[in-house]
Amino acid sequence: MEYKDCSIGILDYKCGNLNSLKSIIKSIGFNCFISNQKKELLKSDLLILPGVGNFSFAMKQLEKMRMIQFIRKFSKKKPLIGICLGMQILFTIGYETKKTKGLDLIKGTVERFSKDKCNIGWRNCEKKNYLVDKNQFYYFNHSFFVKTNSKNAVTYSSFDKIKFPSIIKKKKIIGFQFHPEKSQFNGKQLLKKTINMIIND
Amino acid sequence: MIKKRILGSVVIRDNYAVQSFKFKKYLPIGKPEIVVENLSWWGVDEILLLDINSKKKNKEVNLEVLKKICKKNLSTPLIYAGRIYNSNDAIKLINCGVERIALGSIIFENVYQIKEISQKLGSQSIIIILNFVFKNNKLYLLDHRNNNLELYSKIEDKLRIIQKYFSEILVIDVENQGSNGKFNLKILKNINLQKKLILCGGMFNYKKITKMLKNNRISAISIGNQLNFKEHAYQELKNKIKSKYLRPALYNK
Repeated sequence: MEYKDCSIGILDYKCGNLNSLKSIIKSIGFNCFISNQKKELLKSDLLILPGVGNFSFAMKQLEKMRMIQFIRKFSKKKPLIGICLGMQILFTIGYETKKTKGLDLIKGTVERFSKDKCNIGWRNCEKKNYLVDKNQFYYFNHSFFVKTNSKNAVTYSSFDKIKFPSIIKKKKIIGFQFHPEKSQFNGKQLLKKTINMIIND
Repeated sequence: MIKKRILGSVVIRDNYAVQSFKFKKYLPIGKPEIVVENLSWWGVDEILLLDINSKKKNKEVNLEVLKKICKKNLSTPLIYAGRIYNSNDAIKLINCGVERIALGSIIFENVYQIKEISQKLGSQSIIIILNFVFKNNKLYLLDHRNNNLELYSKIEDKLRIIQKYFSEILVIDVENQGSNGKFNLKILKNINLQKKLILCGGMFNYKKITKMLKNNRISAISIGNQLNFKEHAYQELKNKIKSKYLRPALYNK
């Protein structure tokens, strides 16, 4: 698919900064819209779950909007990208505030760093791969991390002696633990590369 | 390794970006959205927006100015501080376009509200602001709403109970805010909370910054006025410090 023909939907579930994500995606040449309507989102070629917030609160919002089944069905046919909290809710269970079921698109749990520590700031990914280089820095802002089978992890980062997946991929689903949309030049390049790759996968 | 951050801070007073001196005297700079856009272009690690209001009774968050900033579609993380008293305000700000919020006056009004906000946004999104003033060899916190001083030790006890609900502390040296590198390092000895610190208020001094970057407790340093005097001041600052603790100074095209 030519990237100019690709339409990207950003799900508005009141958990994050949608407009800056939309504008960054537009700035790298894709058509993009924000919606909370299933009919509209169904027309998109790729769905993005953004996310700033809390796992339990986010799942409650999705439940209230009756979006859980919709996202599950969408991800079987078309690509899905999760960013930060949007990536964490792709997994089976999260423990933020209370034990909460996630979307369960990928097996794994979302757990807290020890002693209530938060991983905030610019950090690189440890393993060079088809998406990122070791000397590129991305903006992280999270207090929970994903534990999953290593086959789902594209690359890792480390914090507080814990090695956690910073990019995950399973079939047509990709997740970033950091915020590419807030990682300046490197982030934009990464988003462009990822979207081009996943829509033509 | 995580890189320590040099924040570009912008004081916004009555919708104008200003140079601030001890939060008492102000000189206008211009439109906040232009100042913030420049900082983002220079590739600062994070931008701190300190929104203050001359009308002390005003308790509304300033979405008007924030919307103008966010319309610029910046790819640099934003932190917003100013009259955030409940989770509804906090959610509005996040949805408007900021990554993190900094809470100040709420510490005096209802410290336990921080827990409620954190349960909706996550602790990583919450920063606590402590406005420090040394007086008669005692450390006080300034309550900007009424200019009252409260003994820091009393407030610290309350903060200790809820410290799992915030991620970092913005330490402001009010008496030296706007000065050229006069931040009083004695303040740090009095903070016993196990949280990473962001230093603000008279931190523009290369030696001081280099020293503080080596300190394990410090995660970031915030620079305000000095970044507005000349073009590319941020690039020059990072290039002169050349610290392994910092991300390279890259323009954000």
